[in-house]
Amino acid sequence: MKRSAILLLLLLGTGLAILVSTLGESSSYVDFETAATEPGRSYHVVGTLDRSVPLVYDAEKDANLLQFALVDQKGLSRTVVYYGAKPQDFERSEQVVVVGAIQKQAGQPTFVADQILTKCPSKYTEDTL
Amino acid sequence: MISYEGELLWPGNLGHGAVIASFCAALLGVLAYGHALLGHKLERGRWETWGRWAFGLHSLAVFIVIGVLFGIIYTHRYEYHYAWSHASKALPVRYILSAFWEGQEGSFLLWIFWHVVLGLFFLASTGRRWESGVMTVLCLAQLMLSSMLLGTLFEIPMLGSLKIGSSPFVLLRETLQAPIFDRPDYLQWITDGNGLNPLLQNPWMVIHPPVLFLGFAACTLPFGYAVTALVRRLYREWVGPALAWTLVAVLTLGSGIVMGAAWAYESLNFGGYWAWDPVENASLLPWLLMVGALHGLHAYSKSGYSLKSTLMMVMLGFVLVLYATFLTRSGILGESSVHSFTDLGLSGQLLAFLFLFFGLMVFLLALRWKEIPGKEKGGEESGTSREFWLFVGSMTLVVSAFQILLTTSIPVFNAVAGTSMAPPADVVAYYNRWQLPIAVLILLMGTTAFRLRFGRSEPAPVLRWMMMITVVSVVLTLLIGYTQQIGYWSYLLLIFAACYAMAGNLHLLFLARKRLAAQGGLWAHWGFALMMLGVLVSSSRKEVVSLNLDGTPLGSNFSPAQARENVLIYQDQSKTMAGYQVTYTGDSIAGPNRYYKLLFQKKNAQGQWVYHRTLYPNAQINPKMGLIASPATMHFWDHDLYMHVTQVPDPENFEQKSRTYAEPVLHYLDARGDTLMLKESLVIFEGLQTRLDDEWKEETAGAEAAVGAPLRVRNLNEEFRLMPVYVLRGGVEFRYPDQTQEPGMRVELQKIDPQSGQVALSVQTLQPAPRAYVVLKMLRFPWINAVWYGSFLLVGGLSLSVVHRNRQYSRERTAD
Repeated sequence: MKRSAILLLLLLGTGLAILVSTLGESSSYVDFETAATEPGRSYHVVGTLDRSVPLVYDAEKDANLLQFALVDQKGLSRTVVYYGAKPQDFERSEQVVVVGAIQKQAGQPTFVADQILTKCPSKYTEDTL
Repeated sequence: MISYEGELLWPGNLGHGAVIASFCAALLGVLAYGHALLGHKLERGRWETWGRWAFGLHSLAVFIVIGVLFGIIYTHRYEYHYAWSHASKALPVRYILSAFWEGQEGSFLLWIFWHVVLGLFFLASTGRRWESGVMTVLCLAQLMLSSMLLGTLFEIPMLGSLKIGSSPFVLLRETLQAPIFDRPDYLQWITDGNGLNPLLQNPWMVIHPPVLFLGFAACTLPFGYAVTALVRRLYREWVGPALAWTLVAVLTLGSGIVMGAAWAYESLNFGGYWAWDPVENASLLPWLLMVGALHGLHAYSKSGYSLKSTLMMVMLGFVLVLYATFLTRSGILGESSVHSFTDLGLSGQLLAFLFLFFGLMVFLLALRWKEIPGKEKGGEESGTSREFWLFVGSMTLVVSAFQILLTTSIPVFNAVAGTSMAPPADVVAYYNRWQLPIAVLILLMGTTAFRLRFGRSEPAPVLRWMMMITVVSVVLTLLIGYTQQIGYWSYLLLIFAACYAMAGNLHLLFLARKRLAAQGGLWAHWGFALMMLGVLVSSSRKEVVSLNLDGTPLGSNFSPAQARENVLIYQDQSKTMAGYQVTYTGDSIAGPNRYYKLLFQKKNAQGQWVYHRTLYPNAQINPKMGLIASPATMHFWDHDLYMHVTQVPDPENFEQKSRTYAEPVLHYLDARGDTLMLKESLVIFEGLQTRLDDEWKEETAGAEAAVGAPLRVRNLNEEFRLMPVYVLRGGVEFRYPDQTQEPGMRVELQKIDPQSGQVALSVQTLQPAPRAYVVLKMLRFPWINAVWYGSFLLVGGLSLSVVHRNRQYSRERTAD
C-alpha cells in the first residue's frame, strides 16, 4: 500500500472521529423537565429571570452564593444556584443561559449552574433616544 | 416636510456618493481585469490599463469614504447615526479610532482600506504577469465588501424590495423613530452620542483590529495567485510570490491574534488569554490553514510535491476568512458567544460573498484537477524526506482546524437542521482534549523535519540526533514536571514535546549560527514551542488564590475548589492571599473608571508586614452596562498575579441614603452615677443633676421638678458631653433630649424612679453607615511570560522569514 494512501485513510479516520466526538460530546439546549430526567448530567438551559421570586445575593453575607429563579422556554420556573459572584448587570439581562445540572438538594430539585451567560439589552447595541 | 436646522448634510451625501463610486469602480475593475485574465493575450495590456484606472478610482473613492466618516465622528456630527451610536464627547481622541471600527460598517471599511493599500503596493512592486489574476480577485472582494456599505433599497418586480448593505452615512432621524424628530431644531437637543463600549476603550483595541484586518486582507492575495496559477496553468511559477504573501498573511494574522489574546488578558475579566470563544476561533481558523499552506508551498517549491493539497489550503484559508466574517457578523452565534453582535441584516450578502469564493475555488480546482502536476519523477516520496513530513505536518494543521471548525459551527448546524445542539458543557476541556495531542505531533514533527533533507536523508545520523534530543528533553520534562507538580501523563507528553522542540531548534540554530538571520523558520518553531510550554504550565497550574474559605460550606457533591472563588474585603481591612496581606484602602475616580486601591504587604525576614505594591483593578459602573471590571496584574519573571473586582456596592448607596436613627432602647442606670457600655461607645453617667444652669431658665421656670443627666460619651478617640433634661411642670412631663453629631447618638431622660433610685435613659443610635467593600477574584498564572516571549519569537521568526524570502524572491526575479 502506498504511503499516501495510508495517510489519506488516517486523515479520513481522524476526521470521522472528530465528527463523531463533536456530535457525541455536544450538550443540548433543553428545558428544566428534560434536565431533570438525568440529574447530574450537564445541560444548557435557556430562560428568563423569574422576577416574581426574589433574587438572593448578598456579597456581605456570602460573596459566592447567587440564587434565583429561572423560567425556561416552556414556562417552568426552577431555582438556580450558582456558587460565585453575581454576573455584571444580571438583573437587567433579557435572556440567561445556565450551564449545569439538576442536583437533588434537601429533597428539592435545584439546578446548580457552573456557568451563567447573560444577554443584556446593552445600550451600545440598542437604538433608543 | 420639515426643514431641519443645523444639520450638515453634504458630508453624508459625499460619503454615500463615494461608496457608490467605489462599488462601481470595483465592478469596472472586475470586468477589466477579468477580461485581461481570460481574454486574448494581445488585448491584455489594454484591459489591464483599464483595470488600473478602475482600481485607482476605487482607491480614491475609498479614501474619501474613510475621510468623511472619520471627520463625522471626530467633529461629533450627531445627526449621523454612526457618530451618535459609537462616539461621545468625553471620548479621548485616541479612541476615536476605535469608535471608527466599532461598528460593522467601520470594520468593513478597515478591511476595504487594507485591500486598497495591499493592492496599490502589489501594483507598484510585483510583476505584470500576476496582475490580471490577482487584481481580478482583489476587485471582486472589494466589490462584495463595498456592497455591504451601499445601504440601497432595490425594487425588484414581483419579489419586493431588497436592501443591499448598510450605509454608515444614514442620519439619526432616518434610523430612529422618536417624537423629537418632529421639531426642526431637534439637533440642539441631542447633545451627546451613545459612546464607545467601555470594553473597547483600551489601547489594545486601538491597535489589534487593524492588525487583524490586515491579516484578513493579506489572505486575499495568495488566493489571487492560486486563481491565476489555475487559470493560466502557471503551476511552477506561482509558488515564489504566493509564498511571500502567505508569509505576510501568517505574520499579520498571527500578530493580530496574539494582540487580541493580550487584550483579553489585560482588560477582560474571563481570567486568561484564550477561551476558545467562537470569535477567537474564527480568526484562528484561517491562520491554521495559512500556516498549513505555508508549509505546503515550501515543500512544493523545493520538491514539486503536494501541489493539490497546497492549492486547496491556500484557497481554503481565504474562504475561512469569509466564513469567520459570516460567523461573527450574521448574529448566528447568538448565545454561544459572550460577545454580542448586532445583526445588520447582511447575512444573505455575507453568505453570497462566502459561496462566491468557495464556488470559484471548487470550480477552478475541478476544472484543472486532472492536469495539476503531481511529483514529476513519479514513484513514492521517501519517508526520510523533509517534504513528506512538511506535508504530514500541514495535514495535521488541517485536522486541528477541522476540529475547531466543527465545534464552532454548532450554531450553524442548528440553524440549518433546526436542532438544538449546544457546545460541550466544558468547552475548554473538550478543545484541549483534541488540540493537545495535535500540538504534540506538530512539535515533534516540526522539529525533526528540520533535521531531514529534501529528497532523502541518511536515517542513522538523524536517529542518533533524535536520541540525543530525546534524552535532553526527558531530563527537562522530569525537571519541569517535578518543580511545577504536573502529574497528568498527557500534560507531561506536551511538556516533553515542547522541550524536544526547544532543544532541537536551539541545537539547529547553533549549527546554523553563521546565518542566524536566514533561520526564520527555526526561530518561529522555537517560539511556538516556548509558547506551548507557557500555555500548558500557565493553564494547568493556574490557581485561584482568592478562595473564600470562610463562606458557608458546600454540600458533599462539590469540591470546595469548584466555586467560592471570590473574596470580600471591607475598606481598611485585609485578607491574606498568596502570601500577601491585601488591604482595601479606598477608591478613586478617573474618567469613567473607578479604581480600587489594594495594598499588598509581604512579610520580611523579621516577620513584619512591609509594603510591597499597590494594585488598582478598575471597574466602570456604567449606567448602561452595569459593572465592567478590568483586571490589574502584578508581573514577576516566573508568574503573574492577576486580580479583578467581581462585585462592588452601588456607589449611590453611599451618597444618597440619609442615615436614620434606630429604634430607641431604654437603659436603666443608677441615679447616683453609672456607666453604660454600648456597641461603639462608652456612656458615663455622672449622677443626676438637680441644679441646672442659667441656660435652662426658660424651660424650668415654675416647674415642680427639673433634673438633668450629665453624660460623657466616649468612643474610640473622642469624647462628647450630653445633657438630656427632664422637667415636670404643672403635672406635665417635658423631655428635652440631647444628641451628638458624630457618634450619632440621641439620648432622652425618660423617667426618674425615686424608689429604686434609678433613671431610665432612652438611647437611639444612628444606623451603621454602609461599609465600603470589594469582592475580588485573584488568580496566579505561573510561567505566563513564556506565552508572550514565545509569541514574540514566533512573530519575530516570521518577520525574519518575510525579509529573507523577499530578498530571495527579488534575486530570483532579477535572475529571470
